[in-house]
Amino acid sequence: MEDNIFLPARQFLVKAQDEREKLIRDCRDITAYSKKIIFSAHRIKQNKVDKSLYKQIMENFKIVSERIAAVNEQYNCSPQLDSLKGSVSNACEEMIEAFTFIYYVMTKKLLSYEKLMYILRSMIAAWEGGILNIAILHHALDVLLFEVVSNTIIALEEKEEPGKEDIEISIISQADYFVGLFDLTGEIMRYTITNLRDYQSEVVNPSGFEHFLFMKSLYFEVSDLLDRYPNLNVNKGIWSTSYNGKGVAVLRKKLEVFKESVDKIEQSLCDVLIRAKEEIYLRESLAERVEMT
Amino acid sequence: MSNPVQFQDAFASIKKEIELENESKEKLQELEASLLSRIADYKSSVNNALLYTPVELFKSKILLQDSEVYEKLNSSLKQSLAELEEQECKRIMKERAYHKFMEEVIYLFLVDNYLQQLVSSFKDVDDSTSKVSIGALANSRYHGVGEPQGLVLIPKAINEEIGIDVDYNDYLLALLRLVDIIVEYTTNTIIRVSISSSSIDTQYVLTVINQQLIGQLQQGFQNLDLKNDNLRRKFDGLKYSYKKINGIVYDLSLRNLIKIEGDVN
Repeated sequence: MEDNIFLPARQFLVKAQDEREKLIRDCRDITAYSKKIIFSAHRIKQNKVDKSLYKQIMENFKIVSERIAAVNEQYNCSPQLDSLKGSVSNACEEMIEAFTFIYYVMTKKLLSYEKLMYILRSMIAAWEGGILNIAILHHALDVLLFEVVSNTIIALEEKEEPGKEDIEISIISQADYFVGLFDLTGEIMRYTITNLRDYQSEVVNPSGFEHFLFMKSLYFEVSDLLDRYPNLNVNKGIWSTSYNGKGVAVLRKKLEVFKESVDKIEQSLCDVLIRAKEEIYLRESLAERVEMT
Repeated sequence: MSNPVQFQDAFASIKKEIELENESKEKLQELEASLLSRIADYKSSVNNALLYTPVELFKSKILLQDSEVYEKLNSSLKQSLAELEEQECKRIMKERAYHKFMEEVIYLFLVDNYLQQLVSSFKDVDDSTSKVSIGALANSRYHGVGEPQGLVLIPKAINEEIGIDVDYNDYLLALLRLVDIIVEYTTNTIIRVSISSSSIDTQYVLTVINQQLIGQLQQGFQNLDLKNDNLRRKFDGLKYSYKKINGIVYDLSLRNLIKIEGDVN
């Protein structure tokens, strides 16, 4: 009995478990280093990335791309997708949050799903055969940070566009991207409130209003989508509109948090604008008094 | 200033994707249902057979014996798997449907084979029989011709039967379902033998055979390093099945009802 059933089964299960463990370790790295990229993004002021910040981001970007290439390769040929997808999705959401956020900070735009996939493809292509081609990685990071590849921190000749060959990416779906957007809004809120006042010129940072508008219109679209599909939920990277209590509640909760973020920005912006007026008034009246004496 | 147009594009494509995914999900569910309905006849004949004692089964010929029916079933299975392979949808969705279907198929194969083996071993059993000895493993599936080889169909036999390598996870899950069914079948057989005046009492030996078989399977399962998943949860139920069948054997032997020897080798 052992030889015909259980020993081969044991071998099969052990192999599957080892693969899963390795994948989970890689996914943890993706989460951790994506978080680091988010912190770097918070340090960006006035869409300017200097050399040292670029270097910091690149270091983390390199690790994320290495793990992503490994996870994607393993995932593509795994026969046990169902048991892996949960871990992969969590890591990918964090990465999507990091990439959409840093892209937003630099360009004030939403990173589209297509562009995200292009960047991912480039990241995976940079690790083809397990050997790093740093030029492709510079290219990918440039697309992410500056949209363009010329006139950036790294000289053009040190960059290389990835080849045209099709790289299959099954670890991320549009549904994962959508869920990642909710996390993006939390970061934008934090970023907006931290940078609400421009401490150099001591006036309200005009970009605060841009962030506010961006969040408002994104909120409008997201809530519109959830109104159209009241039972919308995402299960293991797949859209579903059939009722699933837990899944629906997850998205509703995320929408609620999103609304809270929008409200926080609105309130802070309003407060700061009122106080700024007061300060101007105080400054003027002080100047008048000085003149009078 | 943010540009609302960029959101509209993104959200238009999200809506499109939701619709597409819904559509392919529906198609897949339909296909899944049609696959399961294709094996419904087979399932019903196996389930029906579970209501009778081995000797009754032999006499009534309720179990499938026709090699043509088996061939038809096999070709229908192969066709079903090919259709599933061709279905256009995300791999993860397809995979879920595949495992669900395969677990069901393997389970039916296992139960069918188990019953066929019992019928073949009990066909000559009467009041004068002194020992029933049955093989534990079957290296190939019974096709309605020749003799069955053992109680538990091994994975290799199923691979050869349907032309693809079965996933051990599916196989082990189906095997655990077989164990549940064996316990159920044991109690059912005892009831039928006990209430029927014409039944052959020696069939009580089935409990000993099943006890030995489940014991061997439990020992086999202990070779596996299981993690916390579905398989592990089902495996946790195995000890209760074993306990239950041990209790039955104990009760019967206490009353001296098991008169002949049973052996699984």
